[in-house]
Amino acid sequence: MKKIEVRVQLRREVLDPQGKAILKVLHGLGYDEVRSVRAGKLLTLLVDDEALASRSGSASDPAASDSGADLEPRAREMVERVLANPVIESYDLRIETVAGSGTGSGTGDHAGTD
Amino acid sequence: MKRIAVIVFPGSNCDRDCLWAIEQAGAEAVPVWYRSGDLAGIDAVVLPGGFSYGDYLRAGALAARSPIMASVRRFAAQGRPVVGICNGFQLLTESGLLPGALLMNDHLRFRWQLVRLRVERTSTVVTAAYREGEVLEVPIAHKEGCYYAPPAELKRLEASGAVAFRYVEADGRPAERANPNGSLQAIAGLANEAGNVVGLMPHPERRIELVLGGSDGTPFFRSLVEAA
Repeated sequence: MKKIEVRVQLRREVLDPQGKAILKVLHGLGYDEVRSVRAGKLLTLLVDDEALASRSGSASDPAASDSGADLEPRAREMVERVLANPVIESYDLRIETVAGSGTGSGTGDHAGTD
Repeated sequence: MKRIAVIVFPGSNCDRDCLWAIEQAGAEAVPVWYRSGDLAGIDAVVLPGGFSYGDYLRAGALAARSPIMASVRRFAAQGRPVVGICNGFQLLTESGLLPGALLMNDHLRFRWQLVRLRVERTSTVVTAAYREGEVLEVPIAHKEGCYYAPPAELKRLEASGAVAFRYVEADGRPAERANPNGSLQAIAGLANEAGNVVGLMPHPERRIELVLGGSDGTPFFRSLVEAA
């Protein structure tokens, strides 16, 4: 099993009124050192990568499977088709192995786009 | 008689108003449940306001990926009228049928109020019966209506005359305070190049008879029936 974590944020050039409102409250509480706040969302997907591999019939390289590298293009596709709106949002994703596959907890590629 | 479909998603709540407005304008109004996917015999499509799929993820995002939208996309590609009002506009941008996106209002509040709109373009399926520059009074009711497009895209939209409606003062002049949500260039509604796909945040279907406080939305639906 793999866990995909997708962090979605408004692009830097897009105004984030929620972040601004949060910043104001933090300043009101005396946290003057905070320079900016950006609000975003975290989506966590649990993916049966073994079922995916057997379905696509690819006897994938176990090392690649461990790192989640073979899952990444598909995860990015999901993000770009639905989970994030590229017009206004950027994202990064992280794939890691979770209990159930017995391969430990290798941390996947942690790449970002902007 | 022309047949105009109103697509009903779980969470749509302006579908009845749109059906009524279409009937009043002289066409047959056909509610189409989002799962049916069938637009056979339909002459125009309206995507109504509301909160399709509870606005989960992003307003309009999940409805935009439902199978009926594939039919709507094909329908639009044939040059036939597709109109999105409020949540319907969000759906059109999320589907890529219109450019840009609708962000949370810059003041973060849901706002119901009357606004003034200037008709910027009459060569669309919903504005042919208006005069260019005419100022309409119609309500808005939304929290995610702040129109955004990247600077280059925005420039292209203005240069090509894609803007159909803009928030203005009663005298037709644009002003900061007339813009109820922070939309860039005070854009309230847009059309594609051919003018057959139109989206807007305000609700013309709530302004089609005097008992509702005004009838500035009537030509909107008359135009649509004519174009269908």
